[in-house]
Amino acid sequence: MFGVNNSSDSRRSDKIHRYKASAFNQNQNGEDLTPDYMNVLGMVFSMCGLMMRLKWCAWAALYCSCISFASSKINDDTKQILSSFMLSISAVVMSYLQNPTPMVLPWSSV
Amino acid sequence: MILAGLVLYFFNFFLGRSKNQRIAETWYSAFKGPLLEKFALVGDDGKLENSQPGLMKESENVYLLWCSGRTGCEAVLFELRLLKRQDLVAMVMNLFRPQQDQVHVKVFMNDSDMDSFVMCLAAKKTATRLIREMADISVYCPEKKSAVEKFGLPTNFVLMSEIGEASTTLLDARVCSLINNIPEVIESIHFSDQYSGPKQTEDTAPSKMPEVKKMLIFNFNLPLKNGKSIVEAVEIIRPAIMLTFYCIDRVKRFRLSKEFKSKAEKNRQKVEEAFLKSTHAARAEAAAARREEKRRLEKEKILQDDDPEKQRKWEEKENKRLAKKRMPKMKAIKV
Repeated sequence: MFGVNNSSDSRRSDKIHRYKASAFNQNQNGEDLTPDYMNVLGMVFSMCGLMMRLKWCAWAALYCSCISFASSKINDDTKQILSSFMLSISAVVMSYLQNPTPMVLPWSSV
Repeated sequence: MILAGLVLYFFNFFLGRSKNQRIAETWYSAFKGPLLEKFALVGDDGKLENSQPGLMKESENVYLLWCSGRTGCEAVLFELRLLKRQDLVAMVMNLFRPQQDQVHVKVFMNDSDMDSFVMCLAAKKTATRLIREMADISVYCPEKKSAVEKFGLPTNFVLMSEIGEASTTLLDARVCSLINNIPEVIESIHFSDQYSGPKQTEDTAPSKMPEVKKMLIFNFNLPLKNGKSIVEAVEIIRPAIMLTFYCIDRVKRFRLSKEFKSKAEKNRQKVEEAFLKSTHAARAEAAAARREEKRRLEKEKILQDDDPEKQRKWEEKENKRLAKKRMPKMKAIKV
């Protein structure tokens, strides 16, 4: 209903501006920071899992890296995500190699 | 059990991703025709040769469409901000705090095609957030006025306007009737000649005025809930997208009357003065540091020169300058 085209064409091919990422195109209600948070959290968890042999930490790290993978941007650095995956998987594997008994959750063992 | 959780997560990832993609594609195919009629360039990825015109994927749930080449505005950026369907955790969070798929339309106006005013019409909740976060609204029009009696809009809309004339002219009967037809779609409509994005946080106080741009920003909800199919939802939002073009033309033609123009100008001047005052100390410091740096460079240059005569001369000059600095200012007033 608003698209009533006047007889004149409103297109101007001589006024084309190319797309460039500038501060004004960015999302104004704050960038999505989940991937970053999850990355850091994943690192912390996998370190805990590796150092303190906490299996649930290692699993949590794996989940964190999954979330960060799912919500990452297309043109983000894939290396970072890959490395966090590697770290968390290695944490899981290491903890199970060391002690292959099933996981005991800290709060259920009390 | 945990492995099952992981499998579920990835299953949901692919499912959600394809759903988001389907929504974006449906939206694009619905509006491709009208957009091609209005823009010389539709879909640009900013690369040197525009390899594949169309939607740009920013992440799994954000799609961008850049259109340019039209009177009145430099460009229009359509942002499809969909739910994070690919992320299971986000979807669970969404159950507790429901959000909606949104389409943000950002219109970059030509500098000459928009007069100076700031106004924003928004749903109540959004309005509170905008006032808190957006620099231009919080400075120029932080008062919320009800838009009910004046414009006959639904009760959950509030209007923030710097210049009353602008809002009464731009929110004409046509716009209002459209908003009344689809109140659930319209989240906010924000016209600003002083748009500078969200407010800067305190610790990164800038030393110069933030860059401003003349922009129109529309936030629309894509009503996918209540069992509506994607195509239906896109059709509901169609008049809203058309509204943006109507508004571009209206804003382009609209000029403030003399009285209000001067008022707007005064407002801008006031803001600038306040800003300059607040950053005076910081700027003075920066200038002093710059001067010092320049002098140091000069000294180094002269010391590197092997000409002792020149060095001596420079030192003399420098001493004189220092002496002058130390001298009481009183002397200057001597008659």
